[in-house]
Amino acid sequence: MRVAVIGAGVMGLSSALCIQEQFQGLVPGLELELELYADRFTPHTCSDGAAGLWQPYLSDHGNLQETLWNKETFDYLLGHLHSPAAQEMGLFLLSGYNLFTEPVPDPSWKNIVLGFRNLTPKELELFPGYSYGWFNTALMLEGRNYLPWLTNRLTQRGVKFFHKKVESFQELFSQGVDVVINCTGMRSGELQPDPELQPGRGQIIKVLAPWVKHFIITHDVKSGVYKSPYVIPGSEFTVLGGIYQHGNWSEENSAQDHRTIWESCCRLLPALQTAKVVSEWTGLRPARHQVRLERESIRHGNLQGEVIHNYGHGGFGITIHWGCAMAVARLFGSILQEKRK
Amino acid sequence: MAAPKVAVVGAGVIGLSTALCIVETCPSSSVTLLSDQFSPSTTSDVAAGMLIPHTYPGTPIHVQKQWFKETFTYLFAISNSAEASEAGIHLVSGWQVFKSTPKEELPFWADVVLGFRPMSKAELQKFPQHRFGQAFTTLKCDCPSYLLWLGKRLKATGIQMYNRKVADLWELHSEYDIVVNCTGIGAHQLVGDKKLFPVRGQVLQVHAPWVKNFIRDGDGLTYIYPGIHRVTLGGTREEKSWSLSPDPGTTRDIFDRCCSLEASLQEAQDIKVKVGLRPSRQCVRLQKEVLSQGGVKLLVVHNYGHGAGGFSVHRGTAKEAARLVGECIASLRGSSSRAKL
Repeated sequence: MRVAVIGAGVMGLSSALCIQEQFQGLVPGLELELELYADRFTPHTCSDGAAGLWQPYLSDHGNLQETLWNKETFDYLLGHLHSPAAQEMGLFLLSGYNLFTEPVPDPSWKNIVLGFRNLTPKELELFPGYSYGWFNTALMLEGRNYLPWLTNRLTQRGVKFFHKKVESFQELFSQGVDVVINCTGMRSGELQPDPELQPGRGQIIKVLAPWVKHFIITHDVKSGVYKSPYVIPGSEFTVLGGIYQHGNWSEENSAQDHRTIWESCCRLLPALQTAKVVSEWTGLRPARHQVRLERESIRHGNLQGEVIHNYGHGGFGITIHWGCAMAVARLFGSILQEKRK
Repeated sequence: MAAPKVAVVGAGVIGLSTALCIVETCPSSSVTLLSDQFSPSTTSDVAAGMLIPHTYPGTPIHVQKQWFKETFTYLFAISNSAEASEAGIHLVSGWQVFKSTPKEELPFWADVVLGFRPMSKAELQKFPQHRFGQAFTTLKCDCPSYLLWLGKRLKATGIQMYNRKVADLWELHSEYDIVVNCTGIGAHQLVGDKKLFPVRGQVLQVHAPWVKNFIRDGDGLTYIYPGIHRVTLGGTREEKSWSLSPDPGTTRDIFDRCCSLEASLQEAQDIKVKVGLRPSRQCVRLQKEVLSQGGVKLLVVHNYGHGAGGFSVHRGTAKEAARLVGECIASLRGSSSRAKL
């Protein structure tokens, strides 16, 4: 059976790995041929630009399924923390602060992360202008390490990679592919129009600030997610951000956004004034009111194939990826089951 | 009377910070700093600089707490300013873990550090050999940077610093009115203090920038302290050992103990081994002394014997020493005005 994954960001690579791990060799006589198609590979994907902090949005909007996928991802990563692969994966624990200008309800993920608690008055003195906040220990999974690690695992398991832009699902079905896993993120609309999928443009500045040992995420409940400054220290660079522009397709760095990020982050952490800027990057978060993770049978003329969609993870792709990969694998399993009948 | 001439002997964290405090509180005095060792070859350069106090059996707890609080407050303000990275001061969070529940579950400094609380069960799962733990946020000094920064501030006040080996405090009597003895372990020979003894500490400084949280075993022997550029792995407490040479067997042992607390350290690179002799004493010797020979007097203020707790209390003891210097200056003025009568 030929399976083609489209997309080499965190969704494509992890979905491919999950399917491979679960089904390769599971059914005697069933030869699973897994291929991965993408026009952008690490380090040029959206996932590479993400700081890599595991943290869902403040509210799950009643979307329990997504909260469950987030938890599955956290638990999966936590289990890998002590493995020899952790450092190669870019996986490590990171503690830090979420700051608010007014009291807010506890988040859906308070019992998923470690040591969640409210900030003490003395801690809030560090952040003038913020009167309420949380402290917790979460996980970092740096795209610049994780994506190559996933790629290596896939290559070792015989998955074939094709550097090519797929123009349609039919193109793959006509080549004999049986199942397509659609992990095309922001550009899913090019394969199948989806008005619910919109870019949430983000810009970040990468600096050298190795004295920063905590993530600091501020929130402006009125403006919305990621529109307020945040500082996230990675293993080598620290990411400064705070831009979310719904509907903006520009992948160019904006000088005004640079100023916004720089000034607001330096106000938050005066020590950043002496940090050296290393690079700047813009990415389009594939935003959707909820993740599209479902099967679809596609028929075109006498071509038929199964598509499993896995896109629309907005700014929480890293956070939710493994739960989604496993859900994709389950849907794949049911396709396999049907084909065997 | 002419400006009282004060000599501070010693250029570790105690000497430099004491000199700075004297300049701040006794502006009428003329201060000179003398030392045969300067950064990077002082004991302070080897220290990890974590603000976690050492308990001195011979000093009242409320005094130790006052010293720690003053030091913490002072460094907290620097960490939150634009000077933070130059001074090498930053916040760091982490865990102190115990194999068996300690007698004292709440140390005297619990309300000085930030967010002190017992670890949750989920957090303790990361440490299967330990049954109890405390989580908190404290400050860390990058010692060579901090010493450099103190030195810069001293030079800005016009203070002169000389490389000079003082063999006997009395040799300074003709040039100075007051001598402040901040010679650390050097006081053993300089003033013949037999109550002062070295506690040898060997540490490894490694490149492991993904380690962002500190981990300390409550026995004080094994610790992982992430600094700005390197992570300090420790350690040993060998009483009465004067050896400054690194021991390879000890290196291996420290590395193994730290890896059992944090498995990812197996991937640590570029291991540097350092040794320091903690200038240990039942209590810090912080007192005045009058040396006299043939009718000539030399006023001495001692400020040494901080053992494992130098960084944690340095500002507090420096201020106390400066206050004692103030008393000496007042007594000199008193005796000089009496002489006029």
